[in-house]
Amino acid sequence: MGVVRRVLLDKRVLTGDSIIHRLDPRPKFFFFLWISVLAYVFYDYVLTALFLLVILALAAAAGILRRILLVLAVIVLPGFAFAIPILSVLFPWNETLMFKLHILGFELPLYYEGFTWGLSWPLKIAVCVSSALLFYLTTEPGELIALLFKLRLPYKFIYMVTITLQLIPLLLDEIQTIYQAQLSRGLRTKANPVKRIWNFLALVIPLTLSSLMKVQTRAIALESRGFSAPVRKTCLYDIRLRAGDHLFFSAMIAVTLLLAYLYLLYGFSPIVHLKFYYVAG
Amino acid sequence: MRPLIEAEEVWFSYSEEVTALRGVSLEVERGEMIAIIGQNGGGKTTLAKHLNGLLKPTRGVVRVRGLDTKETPLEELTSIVGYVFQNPAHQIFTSRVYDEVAYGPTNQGLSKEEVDARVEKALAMVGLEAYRDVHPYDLDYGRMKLLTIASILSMEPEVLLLDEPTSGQDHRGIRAVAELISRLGREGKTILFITHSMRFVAELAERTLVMAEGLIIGDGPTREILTDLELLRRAAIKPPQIAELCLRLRRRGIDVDALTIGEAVDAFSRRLGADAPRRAS
Repeated sequence: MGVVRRVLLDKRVLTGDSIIHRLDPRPKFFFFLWISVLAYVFYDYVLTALFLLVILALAAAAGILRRILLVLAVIVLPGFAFAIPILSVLFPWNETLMFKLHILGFELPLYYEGFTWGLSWPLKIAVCVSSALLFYLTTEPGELIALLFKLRLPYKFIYMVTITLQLIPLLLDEIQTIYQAQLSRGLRTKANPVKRIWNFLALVIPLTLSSLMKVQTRAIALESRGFSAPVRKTCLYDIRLRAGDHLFFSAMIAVTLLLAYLYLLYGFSPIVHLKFYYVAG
Repeated sequence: MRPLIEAEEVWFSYSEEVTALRGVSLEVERGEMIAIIGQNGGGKTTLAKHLNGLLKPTRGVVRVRGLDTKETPLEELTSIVGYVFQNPAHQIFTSRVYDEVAYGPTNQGLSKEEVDARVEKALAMVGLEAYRDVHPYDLDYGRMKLLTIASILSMEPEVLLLDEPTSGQDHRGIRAVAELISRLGREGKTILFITHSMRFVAELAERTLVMAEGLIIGDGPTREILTDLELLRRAAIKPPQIAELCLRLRRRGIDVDALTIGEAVDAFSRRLGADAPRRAS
């Protein structure tokens, strides 16, 4: 929670002046969608790792590499730590034996199919999370509103998105305060399961009630300023595509064409040449 | 005899950019009634949260009854120093006033009889005996605030820390809290409270700490602090109206010294030679 708060609350990051910050939000948003789709279209851990490296290079250019790595360390490293050992042994489609581990007199066979599955999925998640953060942390709220406005989305939806992003850090702060308030009243963090549920309620109920009260107050404040007025709204912020944005789009198109060619030539695994792609059933 | 609470050169940072305390030192003796005042963001709440171990110093030491807060379990510290949070919505989570007050003693592992006795005593202290079966959210804000105080008093801490006990309250609520704090003080409880109400400080506190930019810039008898205009100006605080009136009169050669209405009535009566009936402050 601390890492997420640190990443989301740092306003300095949002107001940076790197080449990535200066890009229009549209290419950054489409980059997030584009690279996330690619990460799922291809089942090739080397290619997925390359996607991740590209995102991390852009993050470094934007000065937010450390923050993204912090989040990845929290979300993705545990994924590797659990998925690789478990799937290497227990994946239902395991066939190709890599080697056998000898632990305490037991023989543990490790299979290639499970290993690559366990390696690929956390990487795919890492690509989605880091590209989303790259977009979020380098786009000012005003630019985000302008982007959604340009996409001609309904105003209530735009507000819903922006308020959610605003509220996440505030809610994290609220949780921290409530947690401290209950700790002051002797809330025990080490307790039996029944007590833990009771402790959980001691946090969730005040959080829910105070959030509902805040939402109600905000709704009244918004309505008193014409939120639901039956007129076509204008937008305070403006965004324009510049040469750098066109270049960014062009690069994405070029890479898409190259990857499409590779897909037609080698299929979903153009570098590692995996022969399997398992789906449910 | 060792002070009840000692803070030595305490530094605390919320992040690399935000340092809330910059070398604060403080000693609190048993039975003291201390007000902590200062501008928003001056470090008052951060300091208070250090005094019961909710926050641990980045540098420096805080000792409560000689116990280093970095090494002592939080449940032990919260039994010595009770912290009443500013917003009742941050802690209320049960559906009955009685259950809310019983939460702390239950966490202390007390028997049913002991919890009953503690709850009855705490409710009587704050005058909420008649509301024991009422839903906490059916209470008005002032009584909700008293309920949060009762829920800490039921843990029978040696020290009571109150964060802005008068905020958002009407006159009746403020008087109720003032009378309660005054009574607890007379009974020997060590009390520290954070407030922006200088009238409240003038009436209740024997000693006042002034905080600004993470430092204690003033610490002394309340009368000295509230008449030190230069100090108050540095902390962006206006003195109580009565104190300001007396200061202006002194500039015109009329020597009257008072902080509260009661003191002012006495002082003016003496000067005018009248035997005016003393009003309640």
